[in-house]
Amino acid sequence: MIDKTILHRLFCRHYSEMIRLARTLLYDDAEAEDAVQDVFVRLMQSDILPADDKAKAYLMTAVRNGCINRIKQKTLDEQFRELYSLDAESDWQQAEQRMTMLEAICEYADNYLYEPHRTIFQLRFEEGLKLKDIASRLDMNLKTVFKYLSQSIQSVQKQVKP
Amino acid sequence: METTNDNISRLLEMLDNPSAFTEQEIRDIINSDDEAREAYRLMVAAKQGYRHMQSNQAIDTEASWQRFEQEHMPRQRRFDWMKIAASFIGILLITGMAFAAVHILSPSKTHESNEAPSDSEQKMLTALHDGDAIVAIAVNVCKGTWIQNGDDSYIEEHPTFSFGFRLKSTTVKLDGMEIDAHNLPSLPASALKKLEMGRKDGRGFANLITAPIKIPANLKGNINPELTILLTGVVPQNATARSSIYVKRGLHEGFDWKEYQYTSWTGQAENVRRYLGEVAIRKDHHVRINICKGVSNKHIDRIKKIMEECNVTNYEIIQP
Repeated sequence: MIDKTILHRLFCRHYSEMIRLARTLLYDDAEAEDAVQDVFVRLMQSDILPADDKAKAYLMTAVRNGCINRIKQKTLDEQFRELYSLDAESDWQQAEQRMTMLEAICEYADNYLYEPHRTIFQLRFEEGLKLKDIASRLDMNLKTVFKYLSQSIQSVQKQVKP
Repeated sequence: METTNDNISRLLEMLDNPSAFTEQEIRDIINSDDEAREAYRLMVAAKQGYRHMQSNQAIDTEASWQRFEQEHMPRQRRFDWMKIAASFIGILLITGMAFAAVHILSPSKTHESNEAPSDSEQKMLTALHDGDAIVAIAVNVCKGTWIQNGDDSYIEEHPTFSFGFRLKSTTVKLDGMEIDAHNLPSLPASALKKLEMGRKDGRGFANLITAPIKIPANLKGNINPELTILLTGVVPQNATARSSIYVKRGLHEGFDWKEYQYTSWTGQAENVRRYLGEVAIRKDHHVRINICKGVSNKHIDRIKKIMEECNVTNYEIIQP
């Protein structure tokens, strides 16, 4: 069993990045905390300690795999409705590059989409509103919201390949 | 034949009301249509991206550790590091230091203050406890202290730095005499002139020297005061890491993103604020911002604002 002092040191050093990755993948703070705690429980119960220079990669991979397993346990309907990644393994081979790409998508949407495209994009993906609710909030026709969001997705796709 | 727009619209419609569709219909549109699949991947990435940015707020790691302890270590005695280290935000292990010296850094002070804390605020030595037992000694280092870490020799430039030495694996000496952890001398951090650390005969050592010492004239600090930032406006084509902001240590004239190291506006792993916060510690700092053609004023205003927030006052904006 790994020494508590060492476990605490790893926790202090890596927890914030691990929880951020878990929140990004799972969208739910409580479930993300469970996923990260699971990693430390398994580490605590094992006798194998990752080398200092590999600890971060080891822990981040463990979080990613834990999150992917949790997503797989959800029904397809739930995965689809909540916009979970359906092919998460291939998405997250390079976690840091993936994070940068995610930021690039949001930065492009926030800085380069014209209105009302930008607001619709943000309401859908940042606030998680359904399109009919967006149409209602913006007092727009539902078909127009569909059209603008489709155009925005295509525009972002041209700039950033997820 | 449906257009791409039709496929995406149908996907959006399904996402709004998935219970109206069968699992097979959902699988069909995701698996059999490239445009729809790519659109779905983009939508997932957009949601993850916003979630990622929302998760950027400070994390109370200690509170999380306490929850972890309560849930998974109920019968073990609470570890008492934080009685001492409550003011420290991160604990970093020095890589390659097998004798388990712990490097304790306060990033908030490092990044926000240009001045070292006054001597009265810091003691040189602090005992670190695990329950009632003293397990380590923390050595607080003032700006200007000479650090000899194995072959690496430099002047410490961060205003708040601490090294922790585990007594189990390291011998800590003050001016040649081994320190009694239960009876630590009360000295200000500024009394420390040089800290030597390394490993000898299978055991770590830390020598604290308070006697006046002559620092070699060619000894450099551990912060490079010069930094170049490149703004590309959009993500460059063929970029492996998708970013519109890059950095390079030192002053550099080039506008080719390939010559730089990628960073991000807001990311945690490599954030331009981290580079700027460190540079700003040096009063002689100099930052050059190379701005590629076509970069919008919004981006230029944004980097100016970050400069102000990071207390970077000496910077120049260069446009081709």
